[in-house]
Amino acid sequence: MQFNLSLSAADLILLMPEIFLTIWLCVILALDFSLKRITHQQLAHLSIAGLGITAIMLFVFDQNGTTGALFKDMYVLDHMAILFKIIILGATALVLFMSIDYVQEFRFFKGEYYFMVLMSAIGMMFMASSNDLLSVFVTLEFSTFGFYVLVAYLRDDQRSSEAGLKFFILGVFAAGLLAYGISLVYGETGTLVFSEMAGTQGSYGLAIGFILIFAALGFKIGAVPFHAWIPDTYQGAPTPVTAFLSLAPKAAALAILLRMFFVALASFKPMWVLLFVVASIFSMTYGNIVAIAQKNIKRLLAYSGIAQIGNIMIGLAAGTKQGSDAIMFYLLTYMFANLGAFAVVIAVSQVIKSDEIEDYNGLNRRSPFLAAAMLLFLLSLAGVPPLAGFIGKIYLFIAAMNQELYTLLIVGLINIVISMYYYLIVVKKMYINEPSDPSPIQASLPIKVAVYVGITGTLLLGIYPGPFIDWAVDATLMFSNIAAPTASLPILPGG
Amino acid sequence: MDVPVSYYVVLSGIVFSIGLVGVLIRRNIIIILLSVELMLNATNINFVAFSSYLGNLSGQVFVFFALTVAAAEVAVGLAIIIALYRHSASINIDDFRLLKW
Amino acid sequence: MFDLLVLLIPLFPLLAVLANGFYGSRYSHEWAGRLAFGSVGLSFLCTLGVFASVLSNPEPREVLAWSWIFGGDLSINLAFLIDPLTTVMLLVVTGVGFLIHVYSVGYMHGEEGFTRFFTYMNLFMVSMLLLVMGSNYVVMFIGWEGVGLCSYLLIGYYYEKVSAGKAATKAFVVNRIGDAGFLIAVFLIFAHFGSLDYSTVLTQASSLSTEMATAITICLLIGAFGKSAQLPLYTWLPDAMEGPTPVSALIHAATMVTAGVYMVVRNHVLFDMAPIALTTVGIIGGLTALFAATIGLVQNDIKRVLAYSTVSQLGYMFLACGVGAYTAAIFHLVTHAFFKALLFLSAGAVIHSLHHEQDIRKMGGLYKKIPITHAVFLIGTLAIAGIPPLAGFWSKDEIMAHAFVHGYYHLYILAAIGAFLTSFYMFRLTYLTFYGQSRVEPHVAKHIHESPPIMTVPLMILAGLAVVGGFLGVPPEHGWFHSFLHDVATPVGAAPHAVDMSTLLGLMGAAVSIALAGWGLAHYMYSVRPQMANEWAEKSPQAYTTLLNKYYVDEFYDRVIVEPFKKLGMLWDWVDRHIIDRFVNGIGKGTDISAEAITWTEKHVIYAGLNVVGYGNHLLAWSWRKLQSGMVHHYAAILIIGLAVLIHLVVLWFTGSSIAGSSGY
Repeated sequence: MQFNLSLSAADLILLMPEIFLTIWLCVILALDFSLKRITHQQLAHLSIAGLGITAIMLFVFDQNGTTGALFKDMYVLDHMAILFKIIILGATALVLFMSIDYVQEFRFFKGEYYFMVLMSAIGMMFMASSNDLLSVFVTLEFSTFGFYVLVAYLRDDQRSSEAGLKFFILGVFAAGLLAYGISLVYGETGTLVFSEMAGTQGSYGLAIGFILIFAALGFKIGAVPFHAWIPDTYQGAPTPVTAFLSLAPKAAALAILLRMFFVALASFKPMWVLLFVVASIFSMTYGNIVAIAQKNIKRLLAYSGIAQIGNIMIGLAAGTKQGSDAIMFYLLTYMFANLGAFAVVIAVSQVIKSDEIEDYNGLNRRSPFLAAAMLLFLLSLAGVPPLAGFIGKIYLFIAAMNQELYTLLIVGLINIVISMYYYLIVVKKMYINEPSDPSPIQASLPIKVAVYVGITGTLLLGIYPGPFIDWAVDATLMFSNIAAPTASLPILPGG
Repeated sequence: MDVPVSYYVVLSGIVFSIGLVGVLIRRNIIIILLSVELMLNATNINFVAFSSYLGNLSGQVFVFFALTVAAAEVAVGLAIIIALYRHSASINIDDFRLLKW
Repeated sequence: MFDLLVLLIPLFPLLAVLANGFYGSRYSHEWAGRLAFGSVGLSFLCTLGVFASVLSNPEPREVLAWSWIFGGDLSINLAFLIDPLTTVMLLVVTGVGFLIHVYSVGYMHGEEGFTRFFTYMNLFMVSMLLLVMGSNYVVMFIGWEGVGLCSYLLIGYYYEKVSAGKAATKAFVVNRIGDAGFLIAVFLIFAHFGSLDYSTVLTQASSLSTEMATAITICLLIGAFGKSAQLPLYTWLPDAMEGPTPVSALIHAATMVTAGVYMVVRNHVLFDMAPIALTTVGIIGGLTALFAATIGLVQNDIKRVLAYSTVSQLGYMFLACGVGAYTAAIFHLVTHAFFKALLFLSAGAVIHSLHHEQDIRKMGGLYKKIPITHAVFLIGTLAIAGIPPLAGFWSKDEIMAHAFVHGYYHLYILAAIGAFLTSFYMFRLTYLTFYGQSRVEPHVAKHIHESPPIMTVPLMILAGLAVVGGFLGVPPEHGWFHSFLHDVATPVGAAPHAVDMSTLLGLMGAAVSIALAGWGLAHYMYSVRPQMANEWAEKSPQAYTTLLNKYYVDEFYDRVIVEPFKKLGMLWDWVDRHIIDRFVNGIGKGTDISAEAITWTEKHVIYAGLNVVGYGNHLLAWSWRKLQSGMVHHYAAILIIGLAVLIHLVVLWFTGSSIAGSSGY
C-alpha cells in the first residue's frame, strides 16, 4: 500500500477559501492581543469582511466551475459543497452582526469570541466538503469544539456553563457512537471513502454502523430521538450562539447526510427511507407539540427547530434529486427566517433582559419594526404563503408526494397546521396584548442589518424563488441518477 | 500466533459497552469523560484490528486522528468542568438542573 | 386596460395597509380612515369597470400579476381569473366592504387603536380579494390563510377583554382543522393533475375516479365547513362576535364566512363527480340551517342572535350547493351579504347609541329615539325573514323550491322549518329591541342618540340593496343573475327541465305563509302577550336552558377536544417527568446492576487477591443504590433508546418480517 498524494498547486486552489479564512482568523487573533487599541467591533467587522471575501471566492468558483476532489477523494469541492459553504458563511456573518452588541457586555475574551465563531465556521466548511468517513469524523469534531466553548462562553452565568456541560457530554457521547459506527463500516467495507462504498454487500454490521453514524449526525441536526440536548442548550447558550447553532451545524451535517446516504448507500435506499420517514414523523410531531407548552422564546424556537428538521428530513426520506433540491432550498429559507427571528429575540432581550414569551406582549407598540419583522419570520417558519418557508415546504412535500410517501405527507400537513398555532400565539402577544411597559425598544444598527437581511431573504425567496431554486437544482446534479428507486429486495442474507 | 479478528471485535464491543454504560449511569463528570474515552478507545481497537485484517492502512490513520480528537475533547471538557465548578463547587452531574423541560 | 383594472383592485387596499401599517402614527386618525375607505372605494370603482367588461365578454380571462416560477417543473403564477363568478364576488366584497369601511370610520371614532384597526381591515380586504380572484389553488390558499389571520387579529381586537382573546384562539384553532383539510385537498389535486390552475383542473376533472373526486371534495369540504362555520365546526363564529361590530359585519357575515360557499361553487365540477360529497353538503347545510336557528330563538345578545342567523343562512347556501343549485347559492350569498351586513351594522348603531349595551333584555322601545336605525333594521328583518318582495325572499325561496322540485323533500322540510324559525327569532329580536316598554337602564337612556350620517348613510344604501337586490334573480331560475352566471355555475350534466308555474307559485305561497307565520307568532308572543315567552320558558325549563346553552356543544368540545389538545404539550411534560423518568430510572437500575457487577469484578476479582481483608466492606456496595437520575442521563438514555428502536426497525426491515417491499409509508 502506498500513498500518492500528488498534490499540485493547482489542486490547492480548491482549498483556497478555507486556507484564506484560516489565515484571516489567525490575523484577527494576533491583532486582538497585539494591538491594545483595537476594539472588538473592529474585529467583528474584520471577521465579517473575511467571511465576505471567502464567500465571493466561492461564488466565483461556482460560476467558473472550479470543482474537484483532493486527498484521494477525502475532500471534494463540488457545486453542492459550494452552496452549503455559502449558506454557512452567510449564517456566520449574520450571527456576527447579531453578536456585536451582545459581545459588548462580555467582561472577558471579547476578541476570542470572533475567533471561536470563525473557527467553527471553518470546521463546518470542511464538513460540507468531506467525502469520506475519516474527514467526517475529524471535521465534525473540529467544528463542534468551537461550539462547546461558545455555548459555555458566559463564564459568569451558570445557565451558560450548564448548557455547555450538557452539550459537551452528549456531544462527546455522540462522537463515541460516531467513531464506533465508522469502525464497523470500515470493517465491513474495507474503505472509508463514500464513493468506494457504493455497491457493497449489505450486512448487519454495516447497517448498525450506519445507524450509529446517523445517530451522530442526527444529534447534530437535532432529529428525534437525538434531540434531547437542543432545548437546554439553546436556552442556556448566549443567544447569538444559539442562532448560530440553529442553522450552520445543521447545514453542514445535512451535506454529510446527503453524500453518505445518496451516494455511499444509494443501493440500500428502501432501508434508509424507512429510517428517515420514522425520524421525520417523530421530529415534526414531537417538536410541534412540545413547542406549544413553551414559555421561553428560545426554547420555543428550539422545539420549532426540531420540527423544522423533521420537515427537512422529508426531503431525505424522498431520497431523490428532487428531495435534495428541496432540502437545499429549504435551508436557504430557513436561514433567513430563523436567524431573523433570533435577531429580533436578541434585539428585544438587549432591552428587556428577558426571553420569556410573556414579555413580548404588545411588542407592536414598543417597536413596530421588530414586531413586523418577527411576524414575517414566524409566518415564514410556519409556511404561510407567499413567504419563503411556504415555497420551501411545498417543494419538500412535492418531493415526498412523487415518491408516494403519503403517510409522511399527511403527517407533515397536519403538523403545519399545529405549528401555526404556537407561532401565532407569539404573533397575538405581539399584536394584540397590552405591553406591561410601553417604553419603545430600539434596535442597534448591526442587529437591524441582520433583521433587514432576514426580511429581504424571506420576501425575495418567497416572491421570486426561481433563480434560487435553479441554483439548488444545479448544485445537486450529481444526485440525478438516484431518482429511480432501487429494488426493495431484502439486502441482508438470512432472516 | 494468529488471533482471529473476531476476538478483537468482541473485545472492542465489551469495552465500548462499558464506556456506554458508564456514561449512562455515572454521576461524576470526570468519570463520564473517562467512559467516553473508553468508547473511543474501543473504536481504536476495532480500527487497528480491521486495518491489519484488511491489509489497509486507512484504519490506522484513523486511530491517530481519533487520539487527537480525544485529547482535544478532554481539554475542552475539563475547561467547562472548571467553569462549572467555580459556580457550584460540584462535579456531580445531578447538581446541574437549572435548565429543564 | 382590463388587466390594469384587475391588478389595481387588490393593489389599492395593499397600499393602504403599507401606509397605515408603517406610517400610520405620523398622521391623524382622520387621514388613516380616509385612506382606508378611500382605497376600498377605488377598488370598487375598478371592479365596476371590470364588471362592465365582463358583461360584454363573459369568457373567463386570466390576468397575470407575477410569474411565480418555482423552478424545476413546477410553476405557479400569481394570477387572477376573471369570470362572472369572480365578478359577482368582487362586487360584493368591494361594494359591501366599502360601505362597511365608511361606517367603521364613524363607529371606531376615537378608539385608541383606530389606525391598527383599519390596517387589519384593509389587510383583510387584500386577502379576501386574493381569495376570490386567484386563478389557482395557491393564490386561493394565500387569501384563505390571510383572511384567517386578519379574522384572528380582529376578533381579539379588544385585547383587554379576556373573552375576546379566548374567542380569537377558538376561531383560530377551529379554522386550523379546516385548513388542514384544505391543504390535503390541494395536495391531492396536485398529485392527480400535476397542476393547481383552475383552468387545468376543472377542464380535466373528468379524468378523476369517483373515489379520488370524493376524497378531494371531502377534504375541501372540511376546509369549507371550518371557514363557513357549519356543523360541527360552527362554534367559533358566535364567539367571534367579541370583535368590533363592523368586523362582524364584514368578516363574519358578508365576506369571509362565505368563502366556503364560493369555494364549493368554484369547484362544483369536482363536486358534481362525487355524489357522496354533494349529499354531505346538502345534509350538513340543512341541519346547520335548522340547528343554528333553534339556538337563535333564545339568545339575548343582539349580536349573537345575528351570528346564529348567519350560521343558519350559510347552511342554506350549502344546502343549495348540495342540491345542485349553485347559482341560487351564490344569489343567496349576495342577498345575504346585503341584509346581514345591514343587520349587523344597524345592530352596531344600536349598540353605539346605548353605550355598548348588547343585551336585548335591556333595550326596547327604541324606535322613536333612533328612527333611522329602526327603519333600516326593520328592512333587514323583513328581508331575512323572507317577506316579499325583499331580497331574502327571492333567494331563499329559490333554494327551497329547487330542493323541492328536484325531490330533496327531507332537505326542503329542514329548510322550511328553519325559515319559520328564522322569521320568528328575527322578529323577536326586532320587537324586543325597538318596540314595547323601554327596559333601557336610566343612566343610559338619557344619552340615546341617533348615529352620525357617516354611519347612517351606508345603512340606508344597504337597506336599498336589501329591498331591490332580489330582483336580480327574478323570475326564479331565469333571472338576469342566472343568465350571468350560467356558464360558471351550472351543474355538469344537468338536463334543463320544465317546472310548471303552478308548482312554483304554490311553493312561493308556502314560503310566504311560513315567513308570515313566524312573524305572527313573534308578534303575538312579544307584542300582544309579552309574558308568554317567559311562561313557556318556565313551563319547559329543560328545553329552554338547553337552547340557551347552545345544546352544550361548546362545553362538549371543550371537554372532549379543546382541553385535551391544549394540554397535550403539558402532558408531554408530565410523561417526561413521570413515565420516562421512571423508565430511565429502571434502565439506570438495570445498567447499574451490570455496572455494579463490573465494578465488583474489578474490585473483587482483581483486587481480591491483593486485598481480601477489604472484602466485607464492599459487600454493602452491591446493595441497590437509590438512583436519582440526572437530566443528562435522561438525555443520553433517550438517545440510546431511540437508537435501539431505529436499529431494531432496520433489522426488522432486513429480515423482511415487518414491511414487505414497498415504498408507501
